[in-house]
Amino acid sequence: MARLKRGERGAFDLVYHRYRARLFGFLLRLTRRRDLAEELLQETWIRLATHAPRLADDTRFGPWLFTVARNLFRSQRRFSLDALIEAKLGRPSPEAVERTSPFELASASELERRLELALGALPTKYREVLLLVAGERLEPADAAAVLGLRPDALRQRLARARGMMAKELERQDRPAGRLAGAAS
Amino acid sequence: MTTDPRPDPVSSLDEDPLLGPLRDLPVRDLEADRAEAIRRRAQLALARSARFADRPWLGSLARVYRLGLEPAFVLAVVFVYLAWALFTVSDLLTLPPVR
Repeated sequence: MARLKRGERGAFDLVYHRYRARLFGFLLRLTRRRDLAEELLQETWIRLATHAPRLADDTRFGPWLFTVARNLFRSQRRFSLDALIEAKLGRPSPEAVERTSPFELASASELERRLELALGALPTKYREVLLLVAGERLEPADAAAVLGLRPDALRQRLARARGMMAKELERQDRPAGRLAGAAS
Repeated sequence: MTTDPRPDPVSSLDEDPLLGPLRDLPVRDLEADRAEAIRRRAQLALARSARFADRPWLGSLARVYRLGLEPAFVLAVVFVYLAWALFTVSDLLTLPPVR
């Protein structure tokens, strides 16, 4: 942290290489759009660079970066069509669900494809809690801080998200597999 | 006193057959040239912020200039130029015919 605060490029590179792919994966699964995920990723790193000299010594990069990325996503989303549709329908639009790159879906296993589609079908506030806690394995306290929730509210939201995910997997018109069995 | 019979979704994450596999989803990364471009831009921002680290007021001043004064100056120049061009064209169109 001290080296980054002094503006050392090596220190920045270490953090960048450690968190770049994780942040991008989080943003990509949150936005379902590669171009937007790249834009938000860039802005997140510029925010880190700009705020580096003023960061507290005990700042942990993981939670800080995920908080910034998630806040940027929410700011961008405030005026987006996707958000309006989701507010109206109570779930993302089918177009938004299927927006994941065909190449990525084609190269994924059956299990991955089902999980990605089920994740994409969840409303954003449930998708983000799953991505942080189950996907990124942030500590519950850290995930709660990123999402601006109390720990008990995080638990509730996670349980709800899990239930919705199970329903979504059941809904998919696929042969019953291991996940569908686990969900019931 | 009652106890909640439901498993805690956070502590039982590894054993959860539904949430456990989410961790194993493939990592999605950027293309290398895009990742490098983002890194370079952020490095530039880092160098700029480190330069002003011991004089935060100078950093604020630079930000005000970059975000406020510079665009205002460009707009003013464009406005003056457009006004001059419009008046010139207007004057040309209203010249008395040459005899």
